[in-house]
Amino acid sequence: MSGRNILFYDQVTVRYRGRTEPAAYKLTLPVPEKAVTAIVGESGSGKSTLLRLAMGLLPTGGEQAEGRVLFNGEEISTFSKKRLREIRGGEMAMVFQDPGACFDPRRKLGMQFVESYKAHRAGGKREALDAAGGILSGLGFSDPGDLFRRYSFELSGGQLQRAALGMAMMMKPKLLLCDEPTSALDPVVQAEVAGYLKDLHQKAGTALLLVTHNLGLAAALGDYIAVMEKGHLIEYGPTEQIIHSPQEGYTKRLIESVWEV
Amino acid sequence: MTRRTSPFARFWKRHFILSRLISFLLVLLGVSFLTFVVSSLAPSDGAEMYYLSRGITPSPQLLEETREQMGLNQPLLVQYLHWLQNLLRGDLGESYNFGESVLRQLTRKLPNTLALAGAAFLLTALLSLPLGALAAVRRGKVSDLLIRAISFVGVSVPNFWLALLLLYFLAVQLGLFPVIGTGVLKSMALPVLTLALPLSCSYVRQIRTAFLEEMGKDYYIGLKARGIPGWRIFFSHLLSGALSPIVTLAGMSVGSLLGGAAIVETIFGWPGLGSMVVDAIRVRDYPVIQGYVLWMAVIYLLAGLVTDLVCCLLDPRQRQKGFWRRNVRKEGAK
Repeated sequence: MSGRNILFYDQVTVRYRGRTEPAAYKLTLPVPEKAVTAIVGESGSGKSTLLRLAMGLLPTGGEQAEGRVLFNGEEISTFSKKRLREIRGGEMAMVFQDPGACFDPRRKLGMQFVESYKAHRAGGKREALDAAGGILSGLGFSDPGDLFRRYSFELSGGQLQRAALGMAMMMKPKLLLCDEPTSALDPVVQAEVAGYLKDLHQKAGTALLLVTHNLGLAAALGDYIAVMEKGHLIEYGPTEQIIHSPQEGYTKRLIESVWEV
Repeated sequence: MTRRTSPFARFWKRHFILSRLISFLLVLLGVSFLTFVVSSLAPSDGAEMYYLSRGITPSPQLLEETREQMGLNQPLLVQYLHWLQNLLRGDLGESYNFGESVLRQLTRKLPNTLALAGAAFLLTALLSLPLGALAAVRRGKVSDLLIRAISFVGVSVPNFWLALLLLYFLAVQLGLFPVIGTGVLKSMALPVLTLALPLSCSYVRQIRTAFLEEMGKDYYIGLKARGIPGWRIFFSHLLSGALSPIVTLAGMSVGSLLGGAAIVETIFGWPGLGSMVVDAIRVRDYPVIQGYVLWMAVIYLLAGLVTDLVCCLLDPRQRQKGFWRRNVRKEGAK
């Protein structure tokens, strides 16, 4: 698959205050349009930092020390606050590991879908709920109207993660960032959510950047796999190549550990 | 596995409001008993004080007769029940000092205290909410540091000293306000400022913390990642989250403000409950002290009750289960 990169990390270094080792070091990674790129690695290897960086939402104390992150060819750090807000949720959406993170526990879900819609489109409540309902019915919710009347704490983890996916995809973003989207869920639900992810990607043509420590998930969904260790990108290539002929010892060990389980 | 609970415990858990009301009454009863017992333990009794406050030194015979008359020779419990009976009729006894009914004295002073407390509370809210929120949103920036530095100083300043400073600079030097009451609004300004400034300072810090805690929750990043505008995140999400700790804080201050601020009222000669009770303590006017302690208990308990109810209403988990019932149940969505 060749084509343009929707997101491009160019020699990026990220440091956290108080830590000597950078969370990412001179890292270059393309994220091609309409494809699934998976970043695998152990926890603490700097995977999530890359996603937060792309969103312009690095945790407190985090700082981009070097390099550029290009979204659609434009450098993200030069965007105005307004432009950044428009892109977040609009052109680039994010799903978190904790499925509750997307929603305010004190507001009904329907209101939160409307709020997200209105932040990006000129439309009323009706249009917002229609758009949300359309996406959600494709995500296994037979009655989105019922969902809209509920609070996040009334849903199970799987339901909530599907709702979060719906929220993220409602604006038809060009890129969906997924931070360990299945690891807080139990195995059956994991497979279900992974299936929906694949489905959404294929239907909407949204590029996915998937961060996971689960090599199985990365292999199942990814067109490309990037392997990270301690802030360094140690191996990158098409999924086939990484799985069948890994070059690095670390990658080999990762692959072996999947078979052991 | 379910733990066995008695029907009583179940009732207590479910009927949140009802259980609060019952415990409210029980605590009130306990406080009234304690108040009565403690003041009857005091070395000089009512009969003696009655005469002493009128400048008469009573003979032992006269004292004995008056004790008989006032029922002071009866067992303590009988005296308490008698007192309680009167209390329920709204009779708190007579002030030894003024011969006026305690209830009348309380209700006469109460409006002054209410005015002072209300104004101080309002000013506190107007000052501390915006400043606390601003400090949280601009965390680490100059405005945050400035607000925190000023509030730190404000918290550390003692009430009476601030009162004297304000009197000296605003009333004596600049002549903006009268030193002692002429005209309601003008003479209120200084006591209100004295009460509100330190209170605002401690509020600013706690409100800042409440907002920061809310901003540390996962959903805050989620909202930002969804591209929700900052003002909307603040007013529609953070504010309601930070509200319950703020309401709890406010509930506690309402209690202490409505008790009348003894020091501030005394310094400014404000005829409220605080200065009333200071005078009563000076001359051991037990009925007045008893009445005041009861009032304080009622106010603190009521404030606590209202705080609990408001917090309960602010929590959707609670709200959804209905106002009267508390029921732990989880439902799934279709």
